[in-house]
Amino acid sequence: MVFSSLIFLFVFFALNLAVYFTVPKRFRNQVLLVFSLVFYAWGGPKYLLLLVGETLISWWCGLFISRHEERSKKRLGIVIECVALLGLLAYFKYTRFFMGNIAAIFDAPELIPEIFLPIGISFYTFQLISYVCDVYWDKVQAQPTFWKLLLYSSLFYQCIAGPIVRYSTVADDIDHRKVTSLDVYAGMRRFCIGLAKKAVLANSCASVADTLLPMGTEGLFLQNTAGCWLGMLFFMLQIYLDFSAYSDMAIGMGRMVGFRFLENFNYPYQCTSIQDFWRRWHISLSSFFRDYVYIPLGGSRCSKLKYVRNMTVVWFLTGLWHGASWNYIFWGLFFLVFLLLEKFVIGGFIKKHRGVGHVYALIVVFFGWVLFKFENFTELGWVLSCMFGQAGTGLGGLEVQTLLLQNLFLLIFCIVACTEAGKKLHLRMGRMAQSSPSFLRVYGITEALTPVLCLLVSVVALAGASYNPFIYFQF
Amino acid sequence: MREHSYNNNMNLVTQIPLSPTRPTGPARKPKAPKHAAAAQPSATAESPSKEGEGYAATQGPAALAPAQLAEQPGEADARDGAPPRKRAFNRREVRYLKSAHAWGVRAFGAAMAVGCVTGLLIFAHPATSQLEGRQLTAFPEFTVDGFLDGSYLEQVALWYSDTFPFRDTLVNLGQDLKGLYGVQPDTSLVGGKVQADELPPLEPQAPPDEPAPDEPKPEDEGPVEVPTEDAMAADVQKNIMSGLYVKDGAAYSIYYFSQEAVTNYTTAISKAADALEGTADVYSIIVPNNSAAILDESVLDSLGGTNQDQAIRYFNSLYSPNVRTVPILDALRQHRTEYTYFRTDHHWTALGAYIAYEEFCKAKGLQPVDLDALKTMTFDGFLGTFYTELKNAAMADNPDTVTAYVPEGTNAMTYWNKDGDEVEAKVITDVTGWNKNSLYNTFIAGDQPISIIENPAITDGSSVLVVKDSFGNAFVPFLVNNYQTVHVIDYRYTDTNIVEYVKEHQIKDVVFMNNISLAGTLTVAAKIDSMVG
Repeated sequence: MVFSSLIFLFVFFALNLAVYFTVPKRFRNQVLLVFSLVFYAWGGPKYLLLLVGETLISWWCGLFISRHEERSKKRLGIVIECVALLGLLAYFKYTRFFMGNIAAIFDAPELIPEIFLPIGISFYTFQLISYVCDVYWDKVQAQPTFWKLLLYSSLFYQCIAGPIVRYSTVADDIDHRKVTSLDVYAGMRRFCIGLAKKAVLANSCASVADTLLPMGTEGLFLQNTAGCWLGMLFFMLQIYLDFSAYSDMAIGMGRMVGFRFLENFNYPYQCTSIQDFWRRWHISLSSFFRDYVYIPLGGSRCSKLKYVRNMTVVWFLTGLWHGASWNYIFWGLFFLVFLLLEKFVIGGFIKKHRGVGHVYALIVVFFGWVLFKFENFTELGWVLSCMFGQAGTGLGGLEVQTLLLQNLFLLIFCIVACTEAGKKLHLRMGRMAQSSPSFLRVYGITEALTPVLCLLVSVVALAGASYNPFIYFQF
Repeated sequence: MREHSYNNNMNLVTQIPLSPTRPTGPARKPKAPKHAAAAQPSATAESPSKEGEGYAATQGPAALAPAQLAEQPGEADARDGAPPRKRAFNRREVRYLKSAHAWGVRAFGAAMAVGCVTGLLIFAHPATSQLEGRQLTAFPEFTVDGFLDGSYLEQVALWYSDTFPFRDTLVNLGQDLKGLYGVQPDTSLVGGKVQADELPPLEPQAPPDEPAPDEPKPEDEGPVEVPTEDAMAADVQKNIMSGLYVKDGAAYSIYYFSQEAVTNYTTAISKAADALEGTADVYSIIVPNNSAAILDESVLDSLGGTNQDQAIRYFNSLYSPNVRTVPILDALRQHRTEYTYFRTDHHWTALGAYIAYEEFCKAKGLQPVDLDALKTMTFDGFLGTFYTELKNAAMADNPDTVTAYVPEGTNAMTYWNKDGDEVEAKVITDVTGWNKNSLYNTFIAGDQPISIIENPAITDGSSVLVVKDSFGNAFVPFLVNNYQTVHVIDYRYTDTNIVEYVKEHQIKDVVFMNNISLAGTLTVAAKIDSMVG
């Protein structure tokens, strides 16, 4: 079940809110837990065992670490945690990839098993590891109650698509959260805006990108140069709007009941360098790798060689985390190259010339997404050559022109939506509201109507997405 | 305190609890520091980035709507980019905003409640869509395996969203919303990413007595499975809609040649003709798409796809000599400025069909009926399949008109529907007031498996069988003027053996009439092949 589906919105979430706010306060956590488990089980009840099992291991490891004083025992706890959880992650996510590579080299094994990737495993595995590490480093106290840790790992707001919430962020909120009326409003608005961002903007961008770049079909190889560029531009917008919309919805739903998750995106396409981009993009993931891999390895306070090693490890893993395919690994290493370039060569220059830095960073990110999009290297190579007019399919055509014109306003709208222009406008309107009673009224009406309008537009867009005219029966 | 939280930066996320009557709990640390951290997620790594604000300005004045959608009210940045505040919100302003927010929450709650209750009205979930002409997703059967691997619940979710009450209204609104995404150009191309096979050169010297010697290759690979109605439907839809050129409120479909499909199709028809040698005369009429019949040569060439004139010649070159071909494209092109095809629908008009009928009469040696002598019926406001697919505004502004010609002698027909029930109907039905996308159904009661029209004004015992797709519907009424009995088979909805049917009813003429895009579809070829064995 995805957030941007009618059944989530009008059955699951509606009932969740209704039940949550009617039961006595002391049962609210139980309500959340039950709903979260149902939500997770929706995608395949058997994987619920995995989520509960991983949480059980982490709960035990956390307690084991906190109850022992000796360093070796503590270390044993964390080793068990990492071996178990990373082992499971590796099994479910990477077995096929590794066996495929081995098979490609040694022609064996011939049979690669079908393994389905359990939903959200990449996210909750990292959450649980961060919890046990934080217990190990004495940053948080171990959670003595199992089901409360399960609530942390399974909370449906963030369980299947992030952000990767740290236990320290919500530890206090689990037992002592307070909700003000402003929390409810602001959380609700954030949710509705996120929903519209996903249902209207991201889905529409996806539809244009998929029309222009139909992966896995012969149609892709008929695309022309302009079509490839435009398709990738829409994909670039889609991936940010889609992912950040999910974070918006998660943060908003959490806020409505008093959880305060950290921000996961900070207008990444406003970056002025690649380093800056990664401080703004999927912050919960990059900070995870920073805190649990990069800094334990020695960070940057070490020799140059070690620094390069640390960076290579982090970016290899970042790439691998995104998917079990070589293109994701190359995607991670692609960013590594530019990060090292910035560190040792061009860093000073782009800091002085922000405009140049911005353009440079966007171009790098753009080509990063080309690497990211195509798992199939034949397609990847073909699209890259087509972008530079080497594919022999021409520079442009009527179809691309049609799609551009038909989606021109959408494109402009989405580009603006990637910037903080909206936030600034909101601030300005608030300030204007102080200047006269009529402005205040306008501001108040906007505040009241924005969320529900976003919700309604999203419902229309979601229903419209199922439009699938079947002309045959009208023949 | 209260004013402070609203005023600080108008940013609702970085707030301190609104109401002074609700003090922060003793067990709980104040929230503010946490949010400061949220505002600068990168602060722990290196110096916080402040580079962003320079670019927001270059985006120009933001429209209201994108701003609202783009909003991320999550960060406290008043100190960063925003101009300094004037003053605090006063008590009255705060009270006003609080009530505005309360109304916002109520509106949200009401919308969610309405959506929830509506969605739970199981009986209000539609099973079919009038708008799209299709069956909607059915509620799944429960199986333990399906439940455990998640496919059952996934299907339930799909059913729920596909059959949400009032979906046709919502879908229409969704299409209107899409209309706001950009400008609708007068000239456009939709789809078009289809690779057509290379059309082989025509070899007029090909020995006519050896009908397709090495062609029935597909048969060597064992019996071809007879396609289901759905498989054929999907295939046909893909073919017709795969490339559409849209200009001034009219759409034109492009044809993409497929070698295998054409070979199979012509082989199947040849098979029927050979089996009927001496029993009946077999005619093949390939109906071109409107693009070939109407557009300028230069435009046609620029669209890609396959030249239909050459393709039809190629079709005709592959037939057994027992198949008599009736080329109609040249005649249609001579009338290209007339209303021979609809603009908003992929079918031809009765006028287009009449031109084909004239050509058929010429080939058969019949006297075509005079169009002016026939009684006409006219239906306005037709928005057909192209409109359903494209929702083009220029089409809606200028819908098609369906004109139908009632045959002399009779307007009565009988058909047997999919359940085998006999139904009395009319050759030309008055469709006034029907759904605006279904007016083409005026001709011979739409697509029916088997129909028979007896003309009492003719008593020469003549009979004809038309094996057709929907293009035949507009054509059949004219034949009623020349034959005592007209049989019609829509091969897509029946499995009747055509050869046996012809022999049983002692039919003298058989006309296979198919649109070029359909005849060029593998599933259609396989279906016809299964009915002529």
